[in-house]
Amino acid sequence: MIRLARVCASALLLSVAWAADLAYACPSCASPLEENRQAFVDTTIFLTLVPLMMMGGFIWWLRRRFRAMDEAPEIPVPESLLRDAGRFSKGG
Amino acid sequence: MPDDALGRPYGVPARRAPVLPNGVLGMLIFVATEIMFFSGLISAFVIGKSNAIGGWPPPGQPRLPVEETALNTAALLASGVALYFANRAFQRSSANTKRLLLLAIGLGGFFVLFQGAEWVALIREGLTLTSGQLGGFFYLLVGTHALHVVAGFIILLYTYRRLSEGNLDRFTFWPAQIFWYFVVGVWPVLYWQVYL
Repeated sequence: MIRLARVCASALLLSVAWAADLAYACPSCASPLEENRQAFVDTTIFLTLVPLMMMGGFIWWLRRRFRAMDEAPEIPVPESLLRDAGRFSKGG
Repeated sequence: MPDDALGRPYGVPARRAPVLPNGVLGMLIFVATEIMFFSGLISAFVIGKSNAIGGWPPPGQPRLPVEETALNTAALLASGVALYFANRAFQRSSANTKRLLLLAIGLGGFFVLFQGAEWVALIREGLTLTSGQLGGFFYLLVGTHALHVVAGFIILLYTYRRLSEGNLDRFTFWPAQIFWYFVVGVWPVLYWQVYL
């Protein structure tokens, strides 16, 4: 029963997408100027792509950095620390 | 006696350079939000410009100083280049770092002063926040950027002070650079959209 209710709710939500024209949320869509309508489409594409590009670029850069770090040797532990690891050192 | 898997004494932590220092990550997130903020402003401007009846700039409004601002744009870009070379000199611990950082700060200061003078001239010609769509968008977009330039200028001054005191580290210098590169990088887009 709950599953059926979820499916119905999802279908109802999806059907709203077909009724987007009723919302009039786009002030440029009814503009008589073709340039204005085109500007709205262009900026929508731009604003959609910018965050995706930023996130994609960051992930790509992180992957490169992780790979570079895996290939780089670990920073050696100073000899002074190796000799005396403090009072918790078993060897001390 | 060494006793861990890597042969180190118990209690000695494994050492590894961080993938990304906290300051850099914080600045990158902040700059990402700023990019979206400016993208929103520029998009609003582009739609507003395309909706203008009678062409753009609107008739009866003062013309924006395209050539003078091109010079100012060059100064800001040069400031970014100077900062890049300052960072390279910093990595080599070269004495040139101070000079190059000072050059970057000076060029940034020149940009702010020049823009202030440009605004005074435009206000005298009648271009104000309430004079029309051009004035409203111009002061919103360019003014927001100017605020960022001033903030970046203060950050660079702080960096210079730390460098002069001899306690500047890359974890401070790197985020400052990211912010300044953002300020420098967003300006040509604004110039192209607003002035040209």
